[in-house]
Amino acid sequence: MQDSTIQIENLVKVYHDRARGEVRAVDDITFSCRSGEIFGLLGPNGAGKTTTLRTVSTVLEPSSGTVRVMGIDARQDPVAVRRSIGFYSSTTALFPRLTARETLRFFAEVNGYPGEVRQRVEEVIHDLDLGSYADVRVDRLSQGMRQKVSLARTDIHDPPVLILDEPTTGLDVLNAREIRDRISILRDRGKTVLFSTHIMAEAEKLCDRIAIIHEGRLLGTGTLEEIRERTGERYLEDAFVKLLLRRGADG
Amino acid sequence: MADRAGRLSRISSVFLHQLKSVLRDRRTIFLAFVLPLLIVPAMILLSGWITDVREEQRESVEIEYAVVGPHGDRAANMVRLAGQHTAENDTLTSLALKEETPESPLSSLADGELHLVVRLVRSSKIHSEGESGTSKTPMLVLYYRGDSDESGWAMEELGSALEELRTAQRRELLLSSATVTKPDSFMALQLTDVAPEGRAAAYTIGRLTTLFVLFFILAGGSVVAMDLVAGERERGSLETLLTTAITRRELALSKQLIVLAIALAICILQVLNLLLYTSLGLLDSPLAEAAISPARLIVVLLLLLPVAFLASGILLLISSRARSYREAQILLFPVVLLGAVPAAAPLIPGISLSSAVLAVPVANIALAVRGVLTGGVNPALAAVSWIITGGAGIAVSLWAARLMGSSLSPEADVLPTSPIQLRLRLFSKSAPRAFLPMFALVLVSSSLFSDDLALQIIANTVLILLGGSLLLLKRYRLPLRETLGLQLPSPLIWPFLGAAVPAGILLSSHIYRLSTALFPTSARMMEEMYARGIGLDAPLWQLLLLGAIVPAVCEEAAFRGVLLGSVRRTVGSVSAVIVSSLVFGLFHMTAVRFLPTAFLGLMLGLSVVLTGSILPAIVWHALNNALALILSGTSLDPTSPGTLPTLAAAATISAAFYVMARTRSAPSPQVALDRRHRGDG
Amino acid sequence: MRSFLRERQVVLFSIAVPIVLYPLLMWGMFTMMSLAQERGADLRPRVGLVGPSSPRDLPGSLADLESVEWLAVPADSQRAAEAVGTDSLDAVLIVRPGPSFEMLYDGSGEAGPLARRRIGNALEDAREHELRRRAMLHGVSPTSWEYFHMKALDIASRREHGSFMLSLMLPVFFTVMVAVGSFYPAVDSTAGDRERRTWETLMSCGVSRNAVLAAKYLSVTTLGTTAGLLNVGSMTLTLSTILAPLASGAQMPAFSLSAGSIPLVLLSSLLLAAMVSAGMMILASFARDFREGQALVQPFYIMAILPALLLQLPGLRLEALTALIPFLNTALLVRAAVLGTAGLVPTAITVAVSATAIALMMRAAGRISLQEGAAAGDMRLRAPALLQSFIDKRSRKEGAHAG
Repeated sequence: MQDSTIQIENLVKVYHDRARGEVRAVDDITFSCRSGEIFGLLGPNGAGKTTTLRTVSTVLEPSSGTVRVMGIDARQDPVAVRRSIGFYSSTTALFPRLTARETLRFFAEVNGYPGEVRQRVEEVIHDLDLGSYADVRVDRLSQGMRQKVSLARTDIHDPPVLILDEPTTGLDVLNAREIRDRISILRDRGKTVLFSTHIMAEAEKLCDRIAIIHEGRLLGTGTLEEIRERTGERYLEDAFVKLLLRRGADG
Repeated sequence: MADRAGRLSRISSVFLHQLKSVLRDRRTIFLAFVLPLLIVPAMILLSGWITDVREEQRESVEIEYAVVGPHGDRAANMVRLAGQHTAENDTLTSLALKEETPESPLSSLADGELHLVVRLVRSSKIHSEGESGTSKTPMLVLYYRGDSDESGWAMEELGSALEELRTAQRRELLLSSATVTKPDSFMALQLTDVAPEGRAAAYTIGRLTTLFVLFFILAGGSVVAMDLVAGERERGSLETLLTTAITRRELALSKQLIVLAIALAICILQVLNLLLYTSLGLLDSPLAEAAISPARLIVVLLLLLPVAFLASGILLLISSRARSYREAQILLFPVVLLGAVPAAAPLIPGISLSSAVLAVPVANIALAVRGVLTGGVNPALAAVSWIITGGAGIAVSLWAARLMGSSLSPEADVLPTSPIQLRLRLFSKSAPRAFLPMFALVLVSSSLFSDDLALQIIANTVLILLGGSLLLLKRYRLPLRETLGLQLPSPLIWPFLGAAVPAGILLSSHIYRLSTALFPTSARMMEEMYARGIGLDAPLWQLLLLGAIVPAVCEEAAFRGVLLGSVRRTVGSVSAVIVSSLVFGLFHMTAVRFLPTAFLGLMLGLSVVLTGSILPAIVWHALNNALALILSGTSLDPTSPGTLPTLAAAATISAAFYVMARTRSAPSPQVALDRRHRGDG
Repeated sequence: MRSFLRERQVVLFSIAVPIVLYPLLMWGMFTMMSLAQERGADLRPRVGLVGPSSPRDLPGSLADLESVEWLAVPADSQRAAEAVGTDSLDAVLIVRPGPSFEMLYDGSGEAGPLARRRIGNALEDAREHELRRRAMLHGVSPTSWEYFHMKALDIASRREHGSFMLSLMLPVFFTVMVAVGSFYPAVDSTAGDRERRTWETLMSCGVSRNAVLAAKYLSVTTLGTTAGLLNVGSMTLTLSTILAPLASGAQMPAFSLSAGSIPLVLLSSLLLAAMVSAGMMILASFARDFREGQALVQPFYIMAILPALLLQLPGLRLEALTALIPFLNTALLVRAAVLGTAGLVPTAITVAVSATAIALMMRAAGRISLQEGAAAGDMRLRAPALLQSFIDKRSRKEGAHAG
């Protein structure tokens, strides 16, 4: 049981919008991620990926259902959950007027990194090859560099779980590749990575297991092979469409 | 223990890094530090300069005047004598006079070609205001224009010159008739100010210190505070922080500390700046003369600390409340103005710390600061003030912490499923807001119809309050009867209600006395109020209709029906009763009437909550007004009832409430409405 | 324009909030003020009396003075003096044979100076009365003693008073209100557009840039003027509402304008609003985002208020010369219009100067935004960055690298 680091059961997130009325952004989603795997949340824009991830990272409170991270209920002890995760999203920006090094140091301290903070910061800077940019203010870095610093920030307190919401969006091929490599490295170090993307190819390349969601509902989970098997499609994109059609036929 | 250390390190880490980040923002620095440093002295200098120029112009103005009337020669002569007198006397500023002879002096004056027209009247016709002078004494009339600076000055200058002339004349008379040998020292008053040197200046400073400090903090800290939450929320870095292991409270506290640090730095800079300008002689400020010992200064600083803490908390609260930087900016302005109100407490004469003011945050500190600077303050009272204001600061800080986290997420409550429930919810949200424009309208209409009480009542209650309420109901398509609560309660309550009315009046007379003690109103104002209130010569039925029945129906529908009903859905019954009665009190415009009205509202609101209907409240309200009207007409003085009647009244009212609670058959109408429709969806 | 009105926030805050807020604020302020006044009148300073055994023995109106509280104090004037300024006494009046009077008071407080004023006035009355009585006894005729009576009559009507006050306040308030009202639309339509990236969309449309700019300017002016007029209206209304019950009728200036002056007042107000909005636009077009726009506009508030402050100077009137100074002339024109003293020539000059100024400002604004529109990434201005430069030239350069 404790094998799964993230457990999501019957998660529902509803919110009220003046124009659209009731919105069920996440509708009864259940899945779990195992330790040391990359779990991909795949779906088109507005599928509910971000809401799911924000709920897991305790930024949002679920309307119903439970979220457990490392066995801790997110509703009962959100701070403990936050300590054991690193969350990246397009909505989590950096402080523009701090340098990369200061940023890393700051987040290591705030997250209560148990070891020597300075040493850890240098280590990560070296790891990510940030050396020459470490003392430049974040608002003067390029988009790709910023994203790299963001990723470093997510991992700075060495959390067992990383939650990355579309980490490669807006990056060019090289930068995106670099980020993906980094994610693989982190997985190899035993971390659980829950990440979302709307790019099917990225999911194919990176993920150990995949959950496909659409309009807040789970269409299917499993390893790439399992999904291929179930849908009989070679490519994830086709699998996705097939699942969607099947779902439509059911409903 | 370890956790506490971790907490400290987290707070200090956020504090330091964010402070660094803030200080790197040149714009913030400019707006918060440089601009005020330049502007404040510039404004003072400019207004000083304008005053100087005005003074100069006033002194250098050449009075162009003309004389009119049959005794023009004598008038002209007198004016000339007065001018001469000022010229001969060294202690007086000599007047520059220029006589003109236009064709029609009064119309020249009206056209602004003349400053003054002087007429001398011999008869006593003008002695209208009961002056004791004999009819033979000539009367000098100075015609001037109050809407022109020069003309007003000319009038004042010539007037005082003429008075000087008269004084000199009388002196001559006294001396020549040997009445008094030394007229100058006769019954003279010698004045000595026994206050130690610099104390008066210290007093002036003491009255203003808190106000200024608060203003500096609100103005200077606002830029930073707005950026720290609202700005970061916009940029997304707030969410990054919220996904870290720091708790909301720690985050709020560290951000508040940053605002506090910056605000204090600005404050100190400002004071130093003013001191610098003062010592350079560029500015005239009481700072130069005030004698304040360093020990006192430290005490003052200590006292002001919770004020600064509270102010920065409020700034942070606004910033957390706002969804965007822009919205925060807009919210800020009224808060800065309102925030200054309690700090102005020392400007009101006769307020001392050993009164109800002690319970008002900021105001109590302001008084304590004044006390410290001028000598006496009770240390215990000052300490209580410190704790109260500091406590308010902590409360605000916690509130900000809650908002900081919660406002990130879209509203997450369980949604109503039927359309009518949805409309009810929307109604509950917007109805309280609708009372703001209603308040403004009432204010306007009160002024428009200030002469006609009947019209005023109709406009305020029927058109604005009832009309507004009905409009709200119509807009959300809610059933009138259930939303307002118009069903009949148990008939058992009516006799009790009847007994509760006089009891309520008796109790509120106590509140009234308390209110007059808090907001002392001169006898004149009270009389005026009474004269207005019952000055209607209308027949009794009309009085009762306009003074009791109409207001009762309309105000109950608005305050108890709409406001109480809607607020109740969001904050619970008890707070709703309190809120609705406070608003009810506010709508009665005068400070003295606020508390008694709110008290009445409290009782009425309670009756609505207990019976689930506003009908008892309408009846109560109407009877209450009618009884009060009749009582005020008689000589019966209800202002000082004894203890026994008071207890009896309280018992009667409690009994009435008890019966209401027991006989209540149905749940509150809106709840019922809710329940009935729950199944629909 | 329509997109402004759609943005509820902008409309709500630049127009609705002040209308509700001002009555509330004014009401609160006047309640406070009347409270302070009443309390001041009710305050009775405690004055120790040394000499006569009872205040009844004091001369004339001093004996009847009820606005101070007389206290018996030890005859020793030294000790009485020491008590002054403590909690028990605010002042001591020492009466010496003669009679002559000495008063010791505590100048550092409310009660001491109040006692000084009240006793001083009463004593002055008593002195006059006594001197007159003695003079009469010695055969001085009342007529020569009185010499003359004096009375000042104000020939200005209530309405003239009202317009005088209005002429001082209106330009100031109006400038500030228009600035506040046009601020949000101005920043929103330039910096806000740029932030939302709609600026470039607009600029790349088939409409001439000047037309886009002019349209934006017009909508900003309209909103600014509306906000200004509504605000001033609600303020005037509040003033007459709140003041009316406080000042009893007669002395109350009437805040109304003669029908003849209304068109000119409106015209001049419009002109002022147009000037202010133009200034807002030019500043806002420098900004990259809302926040920066705000920072830039802040100094403008102060600049706009300065000429209005100068209006306090008497003798400063709208003449051919003053009509040449932009901003000041518009403010003066508003004032003259309210007073009904605006001459034709200065008015014409003012209108001409203002129109030129607005045209120039719009051109400058157009040029600035054009350059930025053309080089979207490079935010550095090649044109001299007038006001901007002193604020954050450096951060601008830094920003250029970031882009």
